[in-house]
Amino acid sequence: MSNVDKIRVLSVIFLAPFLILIAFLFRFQILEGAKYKRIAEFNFVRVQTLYPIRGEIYDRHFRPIAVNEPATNLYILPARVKDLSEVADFINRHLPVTKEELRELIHQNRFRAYQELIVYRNLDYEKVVEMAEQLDRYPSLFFRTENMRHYTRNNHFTGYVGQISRSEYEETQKKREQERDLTTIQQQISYSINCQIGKTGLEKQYEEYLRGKNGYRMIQVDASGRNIRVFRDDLDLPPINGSDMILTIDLKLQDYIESIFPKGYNGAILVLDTESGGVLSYVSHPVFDLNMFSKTVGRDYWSDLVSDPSFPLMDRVTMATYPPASTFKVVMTAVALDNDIIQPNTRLARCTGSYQYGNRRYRCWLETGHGSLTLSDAIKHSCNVYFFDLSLRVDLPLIDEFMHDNYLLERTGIDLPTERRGFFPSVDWYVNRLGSSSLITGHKINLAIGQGEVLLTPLQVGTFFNAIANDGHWKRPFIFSRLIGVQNDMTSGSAESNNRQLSITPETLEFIQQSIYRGVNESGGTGIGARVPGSRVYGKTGTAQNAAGSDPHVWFAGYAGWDTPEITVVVIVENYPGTGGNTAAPLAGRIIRYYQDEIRPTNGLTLNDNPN
Amino acid sequence: MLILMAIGVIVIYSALTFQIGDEKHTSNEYLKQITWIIVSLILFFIVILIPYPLFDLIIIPAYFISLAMLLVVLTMPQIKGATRWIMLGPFQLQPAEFAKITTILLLAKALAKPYITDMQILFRLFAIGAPPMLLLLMQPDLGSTVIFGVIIFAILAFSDLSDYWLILTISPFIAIATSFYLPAFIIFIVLLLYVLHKLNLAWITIGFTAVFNVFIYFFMPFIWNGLKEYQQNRILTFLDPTRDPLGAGYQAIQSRIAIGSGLFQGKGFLEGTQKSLNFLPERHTDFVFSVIAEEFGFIGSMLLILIFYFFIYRLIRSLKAITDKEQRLAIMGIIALFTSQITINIAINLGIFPTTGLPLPFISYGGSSLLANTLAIGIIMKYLTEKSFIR
Repeated sequence: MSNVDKIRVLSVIFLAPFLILIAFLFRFQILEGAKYKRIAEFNFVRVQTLYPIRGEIYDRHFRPIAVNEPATNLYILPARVKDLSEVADFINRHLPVTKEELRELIHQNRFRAYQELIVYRNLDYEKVVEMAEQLDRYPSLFFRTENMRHYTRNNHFTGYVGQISRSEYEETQKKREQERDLTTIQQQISYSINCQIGKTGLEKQYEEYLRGKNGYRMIQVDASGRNIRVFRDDLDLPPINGSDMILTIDLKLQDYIESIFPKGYNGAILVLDTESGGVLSYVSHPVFDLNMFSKTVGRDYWSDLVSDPSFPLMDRVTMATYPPASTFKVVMTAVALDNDIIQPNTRLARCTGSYQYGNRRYRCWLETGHGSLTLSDAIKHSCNVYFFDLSLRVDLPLIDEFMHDNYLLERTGIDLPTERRGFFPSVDWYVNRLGSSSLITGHKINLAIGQGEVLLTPLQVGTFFNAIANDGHWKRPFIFSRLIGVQNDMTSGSAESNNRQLSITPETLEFIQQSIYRGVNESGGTGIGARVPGSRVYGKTGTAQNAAGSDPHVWFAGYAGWDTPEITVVVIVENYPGTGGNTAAPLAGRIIRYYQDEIRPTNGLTLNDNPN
Repeated sequence: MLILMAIGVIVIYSALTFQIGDEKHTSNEYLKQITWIIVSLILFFIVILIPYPLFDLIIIPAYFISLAMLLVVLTMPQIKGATRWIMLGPFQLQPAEFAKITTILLLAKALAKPYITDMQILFRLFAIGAPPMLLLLMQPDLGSTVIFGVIIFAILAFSDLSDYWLILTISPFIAIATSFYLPAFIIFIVLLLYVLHKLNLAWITIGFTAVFNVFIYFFMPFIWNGLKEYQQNRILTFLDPTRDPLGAGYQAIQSRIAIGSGLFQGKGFLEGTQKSLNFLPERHTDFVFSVIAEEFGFIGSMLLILIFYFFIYRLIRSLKAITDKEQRLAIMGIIALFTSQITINIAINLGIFPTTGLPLPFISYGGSSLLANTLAIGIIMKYLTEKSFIR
């Protein structure tokens, strides 16, 4: 074949595929064009995403905590808006949505004109009726009944769901892009701009399980976009609903504690299942209305919450740090005994109601003084002077090290998205703060009774006392127990890092247990208010002095057992008139008594025999 | 040739101004594309101006650099289920586009050696062609792998390889393609036997080739099971598009609706309705043809296809002026590259080929593809101008 011939042949060979393409083009555009035109212009075949139902949350006896309820939501389809200001006026007449808010909503999604956007959630029935009458004139607006989150109790552990924010949406989209192959629509956790997402608490922590997976349906939409019919129902991919969740919480106990929490005061009460570390009750006051966040939150409500001086949004169990007050004497005792600084029967400075160091007087809570005490008695009476004197013999780094070794400064790792660390001042910290180390001793005297710079969350104090109740076995606290109806390994607890050991010798531990038992059960003990006949209650009270003028924070931290220790109770009430002994301890006592009378008999019951 | 480039540039410009957003909002991608066009044209002239010996010297290192880039890309985070891009700050580099060209050049160089035996040709072909193809399959980039195959066959067909070896090399792939459908396979075997017989080969050779191909037929199920599920899905959906309209077939169906609804004269510039519905997620890249077809109708899209053919035709014509064997082979490879890329992309848009990520040369948005394609034309232009220097 000559060169020219070859080129001629090649030209023809390469022309062939182009001709085939033109032939197909002719077929689709000319022969079958009318068909496709009809599909394109009058019948949009669309993939409709079917959103899963969010998993519900129940307490350990299957009592509902977070459930789904139907709600009517108002949507807008921007592509069908003819006169935006007219639509905005209409909405504004009926709902608290301003023209600017609506414009902003549409502008943010301007590249997706056929993306439905949620305008307002959970309309009242009257409003729906009122607006529905005129809806014919606004083809861009429509109602849809969907599931809305409803919380049966206001609390700080479930958290709440809310409209996905722009940044959260982009993050989930990015994650989805990375995970999937573009050309196949896989079943996945995915969100639209209208979705709700767990914002805080368990709703956020376990979003993946609660959310479920999207399903899909092919639908045909007619020219008006209203008459939707299924295109081919054999192609449906049903959504996989979120998993229902069982918590360790006992709602009955939780309710009781909510009911006895001092009215008008702030604080936290935490009850743990001693053996496992599971949270039985998690109370933080004040609470706020969780259900407000499932609706379109009024800006007023939000700004009220944020500006409220009692910080109702703050979860006081994990996010508030307090000086542990006299509950800290347990730490001092362990440090002193395990480092052989004193012995259990060592008598230190005689308590005369105050203690002189340098030119400052440190006062014991009992003005008349406790006299000369052994260590055990000093714990029982919560004598400050004994611990003031002890503090002079204990080096600051020793305490710091003990706090580290016993997980008091790190986060406990409870299954909630946010948690604060504890704080204990180091020598360096003081040097930076005070300029020299010479003044540390004065501060150390205060630290010995848990005042001053040391700060712990109620959860940390609770976890520590729980470990004492467990003979030194430290358990990571948790709220999530298991999923319902899913073959899943998701159970909490068992992992290696969830079980640790306190660095306290068994002898010291036993001494501490005895001493805090005496503090509750012997007359003269500060925790006597927590005594419950029929139960072995152990505990330590605390009263954290505040800046002049305001009432102290009152503490009780302890545990109660019958054959073996069963529940660990931590009570803290902020700015409460009185002392830990005469306020917090009786509160703990009432909780333990209630547990003994009402909760304990129902323990061991399974889901099937619901006690209610 | 430069006129053709200009046409390409105009089409890119028009394609990119209408394709995103509605009439109120236009995304700024078209501005970026213009920047890329300028960069590409600069590169185009650089390639032409480089002295030929120097150009000859870069071929081998360039091949290994592109292999290295293909390796690097495997370590990158996945985008849309595959790793195709190297992130360089704000830029995303798609090394597959450059690997195609460097491989063509090296293959041409290696196979153009005089007095080369059939075995040597096949060995060199394998040594040079296999590494980039393997790396592409690992991404996985099915589309580019297919393009590579077409390029290699085109170069092979134009090389000194004897007809028998050519058939022996190509026939297994046809066997694979037809193994999905038994009657097609039988027709293929009969045709194969006929062609071999015509070549006056020994019966034993003919028998061996036939048995070899039949063996492949039975071996296919094992290879099939080795494919990733989504690749299997794509191939199955290609064979039966209604099988999965929600999944892989979705884009194909939507693209065809867009094309079909364009009718004879199209809906007009900026008037396309399908594109704004998000039916076509890749409308400014891989599915740009469907936007053109919807807005400019049969006339516009047929015109585009004819322009493309004219472009290919001009490339083929350029072979007339070139006598150097290496250059001829390289041009042949580039022609195969463009032809396969153009036709396969349009076929994907028409829904008659499985959906794989492939840009339409000079039209689709994307810097890497534009740069690489301009580079390829630059090389051919270089061959043509170089020749006149020698004369």
